Amino acid sequence: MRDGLDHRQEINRMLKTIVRKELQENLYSYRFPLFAIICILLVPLGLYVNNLNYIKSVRDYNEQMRLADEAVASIQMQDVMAGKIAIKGFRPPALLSVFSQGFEGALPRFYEFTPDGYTPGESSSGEASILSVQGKIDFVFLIQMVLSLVGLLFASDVIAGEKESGTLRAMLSNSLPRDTILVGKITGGYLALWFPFIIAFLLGIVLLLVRAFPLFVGDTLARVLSVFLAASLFILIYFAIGSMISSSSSKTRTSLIVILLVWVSFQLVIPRVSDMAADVIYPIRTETQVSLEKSILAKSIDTETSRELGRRYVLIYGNEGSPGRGDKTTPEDVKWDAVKKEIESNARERKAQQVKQIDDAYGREKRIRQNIATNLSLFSPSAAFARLLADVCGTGEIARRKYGEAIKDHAQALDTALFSRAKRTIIALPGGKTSLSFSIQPIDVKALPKFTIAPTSLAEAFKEDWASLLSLAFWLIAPFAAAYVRFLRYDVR
Amino acid sequence: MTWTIVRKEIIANLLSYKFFIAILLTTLLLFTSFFVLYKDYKGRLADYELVRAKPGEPIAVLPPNPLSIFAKGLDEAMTRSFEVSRIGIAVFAGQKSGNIIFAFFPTPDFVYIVKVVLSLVALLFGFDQVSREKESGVLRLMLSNSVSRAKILAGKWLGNFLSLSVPFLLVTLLGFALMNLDPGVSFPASSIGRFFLLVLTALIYIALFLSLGIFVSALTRRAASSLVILLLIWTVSVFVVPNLGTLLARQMVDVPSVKALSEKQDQVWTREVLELILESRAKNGRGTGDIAKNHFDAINRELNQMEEDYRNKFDRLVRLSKNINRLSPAASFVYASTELAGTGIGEESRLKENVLRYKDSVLPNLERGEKQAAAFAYRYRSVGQVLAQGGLFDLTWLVFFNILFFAMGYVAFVRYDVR
Repeated sequence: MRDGLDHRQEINRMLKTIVRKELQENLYSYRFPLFAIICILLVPLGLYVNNLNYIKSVRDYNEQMRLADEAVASIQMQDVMAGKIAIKGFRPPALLSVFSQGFEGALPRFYEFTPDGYTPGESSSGEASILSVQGKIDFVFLIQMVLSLVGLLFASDVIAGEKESGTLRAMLSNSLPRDTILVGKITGGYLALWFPFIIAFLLGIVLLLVRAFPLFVGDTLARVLSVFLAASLFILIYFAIGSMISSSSSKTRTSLIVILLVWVSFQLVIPRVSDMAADVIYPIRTETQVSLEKSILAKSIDTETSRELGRRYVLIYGNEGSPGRGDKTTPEDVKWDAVKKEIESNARERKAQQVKQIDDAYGREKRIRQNIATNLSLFSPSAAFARLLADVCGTGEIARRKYGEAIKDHAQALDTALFSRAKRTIIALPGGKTSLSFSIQPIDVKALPKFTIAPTSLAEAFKEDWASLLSLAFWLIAPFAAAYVRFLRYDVR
Repeated sequence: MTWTIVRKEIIANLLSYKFFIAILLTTLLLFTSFFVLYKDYKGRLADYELVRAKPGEPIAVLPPNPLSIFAKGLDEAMTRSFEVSRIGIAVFAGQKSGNIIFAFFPTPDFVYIVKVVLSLVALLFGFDQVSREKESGVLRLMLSNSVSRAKILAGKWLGNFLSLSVPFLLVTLLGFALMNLDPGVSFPASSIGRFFLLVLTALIYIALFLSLGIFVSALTRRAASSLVILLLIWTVSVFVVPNLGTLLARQMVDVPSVKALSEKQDQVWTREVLELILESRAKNGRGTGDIAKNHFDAINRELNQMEEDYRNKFDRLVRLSKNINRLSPAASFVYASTELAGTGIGEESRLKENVLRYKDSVLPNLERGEKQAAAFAYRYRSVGQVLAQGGLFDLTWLVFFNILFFAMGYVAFVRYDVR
């Protein structure tokens, strides 16, 4: 019993020694300062740049909101009647786009609502798009592209390097289980990566705080912490993958080449190929085509309605009946009003229903295709990481979906509060003549619904992204297990 | 002797699994990219048929550029629809690919693959050229023959460049030829020349990274350390510098925000309208038509002035950030290739100028109440113009990097201790 305890203490001591040795070795190597400089330069830089962009886009957003409000306040009745009103709904910039840009630059900044439906406005500002021709650089991208590569590089010689220099043999001549060596080496190597990262991250946060980033408002702190934890985990994943490769190859050079190829596949090939596969498996129409289909449908229903009105009009008033109404309300007028109301409300219902059908069908198609692409891409831990963090930062798939839902709701709310209140009735008489009449209900411009997007809680983001979490967990555990198995069978000579 | 070395290098590459995997990967990526962007182009073309201006509408919309399949650049911004009205120019999303995934990861076009992946592959071919042969002792044997070090280096460079560029060229040309089979995608004659120039630029860019790889390899004693150093250089030049320049430029040139602009515009409006009211009161309503016209002209003039001012500042910002970014060959490559494809920054700003000019030509008609407006026509710059306006500079700059790295590699190799 005592012996066992002593043995365990001995192993613990050895483990600490290995971790310390590994740390020191890395700290003194030429690649460590290079990595530290890159990390400490890039991470705060990325946060800083995106914070500048965010502040600018908030300023623009506020200004455009003010302009849009003014435009709404000066709505003229005749414009409403002419169907010329267009109301804009703006998407507020996401605060945490500082960390992950996600869809932030790609989604339309506003939608324009008209009596015929809604159309997307331009996406990012022209200025931002021109300057981004070189690609964007955000925190997530840095971690995903650069730090993953560094993690792999640091791991490339964990086992193979030690074998090449012959120290592995010397180490194993001690009474030391192989798993302790592996755990010690991975821990030490990972810590050497993690320290510069945490310093860089803290520097970035300080920089943000200096620039009045509201870190302690709401759940921002929790989200930033999640970002930090996920990034730490992500680096560990790549370090583990690197260790796995290193313990499967007998030469550092081989392991380096394999590592590069794995990296390229995870970063570039898998996300692309899954995208392409989704495109092949499930092709869908573009948004413009669908919105055109909707407006054609609306127009055809309108023509049909006015024809129907004309037919009924003739039935009631006779062929010569003048649309002008005298002072006295005749029984025909009462009948006509009832008929007109019925036809119009029917038409409106039919239109709303069919438009909704098109929208729902298209939404379904898009979702299916999106799911195929997403799930296929989750084979790569990088894609899983990027998607998870985008959702945590409120710039991901969830935000996009909620934006879409908010647009639909707002279109409906505006329709009841504004567009349907001014009715233009076009009557197409059988003789080919048309007559136009207006009826209008009072509109309270001040009480028009405001465009809002439902917020997403952090828990919701994690719940929705269970598949990403699963993928990350798999890529954390599997390489460790594989590295362990490979190392047990490793020929140290 | 040089040719013997070239042949030896090519055969050694052909037999190595590194070559096999690298070529497989490149082929896969390039074909994926061609396929995805080809579909994207077709989708946007279908969109264009829907949103294009009907005869007489004062709308400026460009069809998608077929070369955007290879260099997407700013094509999406250039194919937005610009609707001219009396209030100004309203910009709407033009042809959107339904492919939202592009938003998440950078667009995987030819330029991106060359910039990121092929540069890496070139480094992979170059990183152990000297140190590996030293480690295995072949270098000593080779130098015991009567062959100069310059010839060895040139042979190595050529052998590796050929084994890298021939498969790459084959895949690229095959993809291009396949696309030409589709009658729906018509590459105009001039765009074929542009495409070949684009490929040439890519080759120069790849050669540059090969030279860099050989240079670093001749500096280090172990292949592993040479690769690590190269990867760090690669990260900095592909990801870091191109963004750093934009950041620095933003700090140096202050471009007013939309808010500042619209506030100024408000001020002009208020001032002129107030003066108009005062003046027409003083004249007791006689001849107010002329006064109103004068004031509205003044407003128009000042707003145009403001717009121009903004554009000037913005151009300065773009120019500065371009020049700083050019420190990295990757940035230079992106600028050169997107301009050649007609999707670059220069082309975009020229398009905007043309839209403004179009607005000025159409507006008088609109104000007179005419319903018909002349159609908007835009001609892309010719290759000569592109080269004259910065393209040639970028190309020369890439060639310069090539010569520089090769020369430094030569110097390092001459001093290399082969024992």
